Amino acid sequence: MEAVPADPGLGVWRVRTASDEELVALSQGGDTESFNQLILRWERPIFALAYRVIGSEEEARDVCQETFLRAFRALKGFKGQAKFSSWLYRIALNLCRDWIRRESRKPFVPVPEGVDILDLASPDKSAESVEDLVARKHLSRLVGEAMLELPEEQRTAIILKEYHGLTFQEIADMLGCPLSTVKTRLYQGLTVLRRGLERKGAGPGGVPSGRT
Amino acid sequence: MTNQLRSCVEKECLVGYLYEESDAVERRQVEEHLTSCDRCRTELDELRGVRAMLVEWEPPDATLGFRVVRSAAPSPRRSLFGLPVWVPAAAAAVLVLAAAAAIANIEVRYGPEGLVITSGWNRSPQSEAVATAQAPAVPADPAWRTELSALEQRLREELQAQAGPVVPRESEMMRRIAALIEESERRQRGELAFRMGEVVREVEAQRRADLVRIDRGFGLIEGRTDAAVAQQRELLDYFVRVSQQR
Repeated sequence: MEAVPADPGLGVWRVRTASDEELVALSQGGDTESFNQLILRWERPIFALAYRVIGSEEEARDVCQETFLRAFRALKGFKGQAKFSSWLYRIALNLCRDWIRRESRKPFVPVPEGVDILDLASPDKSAESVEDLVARKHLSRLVGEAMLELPEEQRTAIILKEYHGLTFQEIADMLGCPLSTVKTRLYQGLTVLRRGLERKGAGPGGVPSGRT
Repeated sequence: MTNQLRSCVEKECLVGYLYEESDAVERRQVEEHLTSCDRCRTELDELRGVRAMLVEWEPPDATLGFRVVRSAAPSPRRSLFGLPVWVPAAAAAVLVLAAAAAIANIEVRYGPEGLVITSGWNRSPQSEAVATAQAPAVPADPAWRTELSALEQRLREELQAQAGPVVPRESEMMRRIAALIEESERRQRGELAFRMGEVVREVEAQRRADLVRIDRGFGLIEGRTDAAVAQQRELLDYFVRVSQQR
């Protein structure tokens, strides 16, 4: 990161952040600190991806760590044929699949019951009433449970689309399947998810109609 | 495609429209179809509802902060559960030691309370009570008692002969455990010193890099300021010259 003049005449400066490609090139040259910047930039999205795919915070953290470790080891072989983030996503998804296959059990949602007292005390949530917070937490848990009941390929397609904003084509490239398959997985996944949420008492407006 | 949509078969178009990834032609066709198809309109609303709920699913706010650190010295070998490898060995040694101590100093006694076997270095009435096995009441018989005393004596001698070497073994074990602990502490002290040195080096390198960056920034600002001042000065000179000419 460095400061560069945006308009020398007006004396306007802007902070220029190194791109992923630049940091990758520096890392390939042996600059560990550049790779640490890439980790800092991508660890949270990768953790979120892993958590949503496998449903366990602890395992997701392990997957996240292993993803960067593998990326670091394989960095010399990365020729920039895909975006660095896509490459990382692919490594993380493969690790998630390995984990699901190895465990050969359904992932679970370790979302605690009720509301975390620290959340209630959090200043940035002060505008939200306790009732709303409880309802939101409850809905979050229901969505997590319903998502983890989906087949892995439908869940992954929805996660990449909804939470990581990938296009249909990017998802197809990442998962190695035709574009039409991605659309079908999304459609089927959303439809099954809707039924699952209805069964769990989550109403169409996003407010759980069952227990609160 | 419109026909397919009208018959509510083509769902890919609906998904494309839902995620706003349809091209202009497809989008117009879907919109046209939606005006006349209640079923597809309802389905689209439901899918949008699901998407709205998906927003609520947040991952936990986990502490991450992974870093790649080049390490010059190999870290000490770790066993499962993160314990140093000597810990299970030491634990096993302690267990062995406890077993050896337990079999030492055994006493066999026969009295009105029955056959009493005691063991351990700190005998207490409770421990004796635990080891008591009630024997049936027998009449007092001096000859029988003498034989039993002789047997007790012989047993005691044999047991003492067996338990004899335990004491030196115990001290040897303690010495080895102390050596292991000392070795582990020495290794950990070394590792701590190494890590501290590494941290200090990293902080120093970062400080230097920051200083260079700040210095460069100031240099750039200074250059810009000097240039601007020179420019202003030239402008002022020009104005002065022009005003003097008139």
